[in-house]
Order: sequence, then C-alpha cells, then structure tokens
Amino acid sequence: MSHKKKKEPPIDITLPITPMLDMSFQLLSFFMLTFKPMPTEGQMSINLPKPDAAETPTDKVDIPSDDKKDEYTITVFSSQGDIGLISFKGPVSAPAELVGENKLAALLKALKDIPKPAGKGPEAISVTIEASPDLSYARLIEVMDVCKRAGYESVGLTPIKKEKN
Amino acid sequence: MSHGGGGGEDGVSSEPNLTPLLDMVLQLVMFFMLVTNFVSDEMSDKIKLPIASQAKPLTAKDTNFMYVNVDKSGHILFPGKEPIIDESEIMFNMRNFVKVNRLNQDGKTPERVYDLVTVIIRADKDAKFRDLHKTMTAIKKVGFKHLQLRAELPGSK
Repeated sequence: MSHKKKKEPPIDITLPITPMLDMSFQLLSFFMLTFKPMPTEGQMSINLPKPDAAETPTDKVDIPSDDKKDEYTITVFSSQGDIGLISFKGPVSAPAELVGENKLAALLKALKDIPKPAGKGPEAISVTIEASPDLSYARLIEVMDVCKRAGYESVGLTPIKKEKN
Repeated sequence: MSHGGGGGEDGVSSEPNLTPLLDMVLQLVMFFMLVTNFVSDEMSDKIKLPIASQAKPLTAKDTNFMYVNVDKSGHILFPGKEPIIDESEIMFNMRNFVKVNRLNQDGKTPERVYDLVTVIIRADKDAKFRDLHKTMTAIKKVGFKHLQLRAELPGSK
C-alpha cells in the first residue's frame, strides 16, 4: 500500500509594490520641492592686514633688501559705496589718477604694464589695495578680480590713510 | 491581484508591471538625495555674495577652514548666536569656535590650529569695507594666518 504524496502547487508570492511606490513618490516629491541648487562659490586669497595700518602710516620703513618686493598701491576712493576714483602708485612714481570711462579696464592695463624684475614673475611684485571705508564689498571684489586677472594672486588690503577731499 | 474585466474564466488580466516604475522612482529619489545641499549652519543664506570671475572653488584638499559671515549692516553672524559687531566679541567667538570644533582633533595646540585653518570671510555684497577690515583685524589678532574672501562664480545660478 503506497501513499504517493501529492505535489502541492507552488505558492505564488506577490510583493505589494503599490505601497512602496506610493512612499517613493512621496519621497521624490519632497526632494523635488525642497531642491534648491546652491550657487557655486569660490575664494580669493588676501594677505592679512598690517597692524594698525591706518593709524601709523609712517611705520613703513624701506629697508633695501634683495628679497624686497616692488610695492604698488591701488587707492580706491568711494562715492556712495561705488568706485569713485582710482589712483595707482608705483614704488618710485607718484600716485596717478586712472582716467577713462572704464576705470577697472584702465587699472587692468596699468597692472599688466608693471615691469617685472628680470627672471621673475608677478610673485615678485606686491600689490596693496587701499580702500575707502565706505567702499562696498562688491566693488572691492571687482578691484581684486582685476588684480587676479593681471596675474597677482594675493593682494593686500588696507584702509585708506587719508581720504581725498 | 487580478483586475478582470467582467469576471469569469474568460476575463483578461491587465495588471500593470510596477517594478520598472518603482526602480526609476527610487533612482530619482537617490539622485535628489545626493544633490540636495543641506544648508550648513556656518554658511548663512542671508548673505548675498558678489560675483567674481577669478575666484577659485574649494578643492578636496581644502579641509581645514571656517566661515565668518558678515551681513550688509556689518554684523558678524555666528551659528546659534545673536549678530555681533564688537571686535572683542568677534575674537571671543572665533576662539570659542576653534575650541569647540577644531581643538579636540589630534590634540593640536591653538597656535597650530590657527596656522592650519583658513578663515573664509563671506561678506554681503553691500557690506562696507570698514566692517570687513574690522573683521580681518580681529581674525589677525586671534592668530589666524590664512585668510580668503568668498565670492560667487559667474553663471552659477
């Protein structure tokens, strides 16, 4: 007497996809609604300000040295936060006011025309921006941008010593 | 789960295949999860940066930095603090920030941390240079050696 075991039909396992899909759609809508691409930001290196540059303008003592850089100063006067007047001063020359419709273009030309010491690049030149206290950060960045475009990677920042009247 | 038309043995099963749809939705969810920028406490979204074409974005090598946010009225914004304007308060908060966030790493001395950390100033485009200079002077007095100004890259919006 043999009892042949009857083969049971395979169990059909169905995974409930619909609730999972619902949840995924909810997550997707959340991320799509809260997605706000951040603007790409970048940095510009600057030299730390010299101590009390505004108060002690006569502290600068020129010590002749082989490593001493040629110092160029860009003085930016402000007019209600905007760039009012820019003057450019070399190590031996007197400050000269930059003229022209586009002062920043004139500044770029003046910076590019700086004679480099023999066998050295822009790193042998020290560029300092003297800015009026009322100058806005946006305008200051524009001036720094011009310096970078001319090849001067790190510039110094100092407040203007005496506001021109 | 069958959705027959009229019932009976002759009914046609028309169950849609949801699996590819689910795959695609999960891929989209993953994409949005990865590209979502969760706002950092250190970077205030109240600051509207100016645009500079020559600014360089941070690279993977730049790991030690801290942000100082300056709003358009010249106040310094530290995470979880009231806006401050006094130089000594700025210095106190910066030292405190270093103590809380950096000093416990590898037992570094404050001087070593100040030398390693680059301070990035995020100033509002309408902030005045006098406020920026005051902040820079405070940063120098604390002992930091490296300073950068932050701007937005053109065409990034």
